[in-house]
Amino acid sequence: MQGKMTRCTRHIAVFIVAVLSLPLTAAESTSPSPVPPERTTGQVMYMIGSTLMASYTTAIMESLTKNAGLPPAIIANRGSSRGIESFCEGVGLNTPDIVAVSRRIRSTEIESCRSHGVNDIVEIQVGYEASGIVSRRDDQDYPLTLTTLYTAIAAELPKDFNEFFPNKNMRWRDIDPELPNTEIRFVIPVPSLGGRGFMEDRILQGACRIIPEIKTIFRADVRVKQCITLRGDGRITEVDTPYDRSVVQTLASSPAGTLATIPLKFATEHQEFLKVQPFDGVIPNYETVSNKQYKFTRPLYFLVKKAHIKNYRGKGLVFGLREFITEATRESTVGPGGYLAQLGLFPTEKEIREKTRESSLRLVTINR
Amino acid sequence: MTFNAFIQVVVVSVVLGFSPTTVLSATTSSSRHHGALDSGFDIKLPAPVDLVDERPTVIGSVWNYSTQTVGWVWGVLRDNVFSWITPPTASSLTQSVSKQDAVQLFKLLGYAGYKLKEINTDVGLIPYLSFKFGLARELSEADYDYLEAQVEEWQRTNPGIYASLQRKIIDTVMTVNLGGEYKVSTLKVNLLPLPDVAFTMSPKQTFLGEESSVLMQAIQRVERDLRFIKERKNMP
Repeated sequence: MQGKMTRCTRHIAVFIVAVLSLPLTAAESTSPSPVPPERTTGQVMYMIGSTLMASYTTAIMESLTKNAGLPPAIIANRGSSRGIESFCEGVGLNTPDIVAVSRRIRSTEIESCRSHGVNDIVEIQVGYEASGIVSRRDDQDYPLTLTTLYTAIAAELPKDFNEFFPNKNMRWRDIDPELPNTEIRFVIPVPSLGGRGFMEDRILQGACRIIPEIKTIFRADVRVKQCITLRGDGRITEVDTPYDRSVVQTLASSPAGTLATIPLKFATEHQEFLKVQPFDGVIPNYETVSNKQYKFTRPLYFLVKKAHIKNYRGKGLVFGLREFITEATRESTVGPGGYLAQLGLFPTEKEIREKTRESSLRLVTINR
Repeated sequence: MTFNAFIQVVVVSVVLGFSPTTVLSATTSSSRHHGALDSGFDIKLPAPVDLVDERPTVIGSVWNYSTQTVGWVWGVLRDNVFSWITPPTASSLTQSVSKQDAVQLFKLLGYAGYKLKEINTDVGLIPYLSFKFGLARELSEADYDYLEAQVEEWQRTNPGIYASLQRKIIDTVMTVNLGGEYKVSTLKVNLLPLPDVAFTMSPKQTFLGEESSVLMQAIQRVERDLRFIKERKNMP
């Protein structure tokens, strides 16, 4: 009897240890990021996101620190897509409160957020940024259009309806006799940066809307895959953060005819080295972007987790998020005379600013 | 002649169809002669204007003007209005509609993935005209963002009620296609006799009928066989 009890007890003990060890093992495989020490009390905001918006984010936080006495936030610039991934990991002090993105959050990303418990996201559009095509300053002019750019960099080009063949264009002049006779080379962001998403959505898919052989493909997933797959013969170079400096370094070491896509803000900062090329017949500058003549602009957003915001009774995770939302929607911040406009941000229209302010201050969440 | 009398003479002469100068000269000459009589001169008075004798001419003038006006109006109606309300010929319709870009609604429906399938027209006392659109391609997220931007741009440039109603059609199509399990498979826009829009919605996941299912299975079998042959060919 005693032997049986001992054996039985031993089995139970092994079972209990096995059961108790399971959560630890699971936690090791998918453990969330560790909580930074400054975040344990929820007094410091944690922001992540686009490198393009780094200067805007810093400016807003500096204003809050100076005027509202908030402690400086933890800011990590890792790119829009990586930022959204971290943002959607869940709710808690070990996850970011705010993500700055240089493109609209996709439905698939919203679904991913919801599947990890991030159900309520406040979306704040702060303005626009334009992206253009640049070359080295000593290079020739490349007056590209959507179709010519697509024809240069796509992996496959249509021959007849439902028939595609690999892209064999080697020189810009093969596509358009008016272009210089230089080798086709192009520099683009890596997939985790917001600029890549913008390029795929506005430029590549925009070109596909004009090309009848691709436009008539019924299924969206098949058409998009055909559209955004780029040539893999070494003529396309992908660069990571810091994007502006990487583009400058890559262009410096590349032959003539190498072009890159870059936000206008960065092109202006490096204008002693970079030349902005006309795209679709328009040279992007402040005037052509403000009067909507240049169409390749992207909206810039802050996404805030509603679950982290303290309510008026002081209940919530993180202090200062309401103040951040108020500052990010103030006319003196995002208006035409605001300090973000002086840093290069293109303000949205007055109606959009008012609507954004009203919905953000009421903490209206995304409904898509 | 006082100023009021002058105005009265001018108005009456115009109404009756006389030349004001003729009447004025007759009246002023008579008044001048009266003034001369007062001053003592012996002047022969001319015969006064006989409005009764002139009446048939006046009536005739009025009748002439009236018939000319009626003739002009009839010409306008014949040349313009009747061509508006009678339906156009099928060839003129297809020529104008084939340039869909000319019509903003049709252009946006094109961005929304819809193509014109049919134009139906009836020629008769009450004409009938309708356009039928079918779903030609699914939209990606980028396509929806682009369509939304185009609608906002149209709203900014055309804020009128007619354009708002047209945008409502696009909004309805987008709302149905984006949310839920249904999509707008056909869209019928009736212009005559009364404008209206009919949406036909079908489930996104359609089921194959018996014949289509058999056909699909036959295609898959052929595809499998071809793959097998290809693999055998590539084998050393």
